[in-house]
Amino acid sequence: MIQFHEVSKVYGNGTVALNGVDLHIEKGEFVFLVGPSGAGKTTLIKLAIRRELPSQGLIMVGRKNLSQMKMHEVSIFRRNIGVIFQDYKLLPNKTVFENVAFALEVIEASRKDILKQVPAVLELVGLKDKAKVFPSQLSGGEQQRVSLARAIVNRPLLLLADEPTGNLDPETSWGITDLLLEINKRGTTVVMATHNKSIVDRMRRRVVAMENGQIVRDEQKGVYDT
Amino acid sequence: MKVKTIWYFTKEASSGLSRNGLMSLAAVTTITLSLIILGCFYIIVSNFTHFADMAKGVLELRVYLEEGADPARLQSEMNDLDGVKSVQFVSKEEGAMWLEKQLGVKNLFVTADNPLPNMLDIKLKDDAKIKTLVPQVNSLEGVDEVVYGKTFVEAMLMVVQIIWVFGLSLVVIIGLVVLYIITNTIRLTVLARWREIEIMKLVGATDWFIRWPFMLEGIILGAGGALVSILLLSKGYHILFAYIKRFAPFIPLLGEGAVNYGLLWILAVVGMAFGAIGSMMSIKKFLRV
Repeated sequence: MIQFHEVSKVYGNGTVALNGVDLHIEKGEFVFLVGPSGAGKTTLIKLAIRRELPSQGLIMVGRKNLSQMKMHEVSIFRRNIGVIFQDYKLLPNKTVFENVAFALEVIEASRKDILKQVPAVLELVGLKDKAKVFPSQLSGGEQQRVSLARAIVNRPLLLLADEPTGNLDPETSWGITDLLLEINKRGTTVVMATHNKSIVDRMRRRVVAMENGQIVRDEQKGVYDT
Repeated sequence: MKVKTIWYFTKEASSGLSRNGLMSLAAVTTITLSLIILGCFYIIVSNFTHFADMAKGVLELRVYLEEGADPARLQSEMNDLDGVKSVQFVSKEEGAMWLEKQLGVKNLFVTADNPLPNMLDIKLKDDAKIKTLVPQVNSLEGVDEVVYGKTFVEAMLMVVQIIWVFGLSLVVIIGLVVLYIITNTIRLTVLARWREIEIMKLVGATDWFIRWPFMLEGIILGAGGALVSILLLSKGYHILFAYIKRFAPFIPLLGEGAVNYGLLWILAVVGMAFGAIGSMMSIKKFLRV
């Protein structure tokens, strides 16, 4: 699903964010990306959705070489990837329903599809009765669930989560993680960057640890730190 | 493009316009002002071109005779010259009548002596012969002065050229100012929506899908400016035309036709193009997500 081959990323100001990263993630995997702030987790995610281009190396997502992709292909490519962020990135002047439907509207989905898929996905994240509520009236965990619903409403093959539980209390964090697991069970590859030690340690999934822009550990059924 | 999508674009564009009402008004005003200048420039150039064309159409030599010269003798001498088609005698009385008609007054020289000279009008077979003919006619005895339209035509064309250069540079400078203002107006809308743009990009909206509402906003601003300017120009020219016709009727102005469909199209296209280009510029940075 994802292949990073000798990938380096140096930003304009000279910061080396990634340095010779090799990573291979299979279809259907659930991977934790761990490491201190500034280790390169977010850069890795940005590269995987082609929000940034690598300075060196090859990135393949699906069968696409991201460096050779044209701008209009990027739009189509992203329709198969869901992304969620620590700060949710919800639109405050739209309701929960509209926020989720937005992801379908901008790719010109039909009204019929929107009316079918949005309630289904809201049910999955447990927010069916909050469809007409605005984000400001929701708790942090609920907002993250809306952003999760928006990320998966297109039925993406790959879901990237950049510290989705960063702002949430432990219990709510577990709720979000359970949802990611559920989505993973339905066939979506999930990559979750996180600082949450208890979740990583309890789940015993593949753990990729990063430090200073490099992968320092990659183990199946791993834990947060050794 | 689906009907639903067009509806979405229109809704987004109008909400952008109303959200930044004052800036939108400022943008329409600047576009209007610059299009008025462009329009004035067009009207002036077409009037001067009209003068020049008129003058070209009547390319002839006017030969003013000395007091007491014999018109009949000169007329036959001139008829013998190479390149002359016909020679017509215009007496000083006929000259006075023509002038009275042009100025719209009567009995111009009732109280004073008619100061106009007798005149011979030479029509030419061929414009190219004019340079050799003028000295030949000038050397004839009894000829006071030879005046011909070519100097006038040349001067007129030169004026048109100067206006072009001057007007175009003015239009370019103002154009840049307009672009700057439009870009900034629309940037306000873009800033208010950068988060939406970011999310749209991330969920796979195409650049054109994101761009259209902003383009539409710019185009509406441009079209608004074009509409106001064309109204002001046609009203203004109407008043000016009536005024000049009354006080200086001998100036051969283009009629109301100067503010025509050609000008309307130019202003509409320029206004909308500026709006669209300004939008493209303001949103460019935000699409690099």
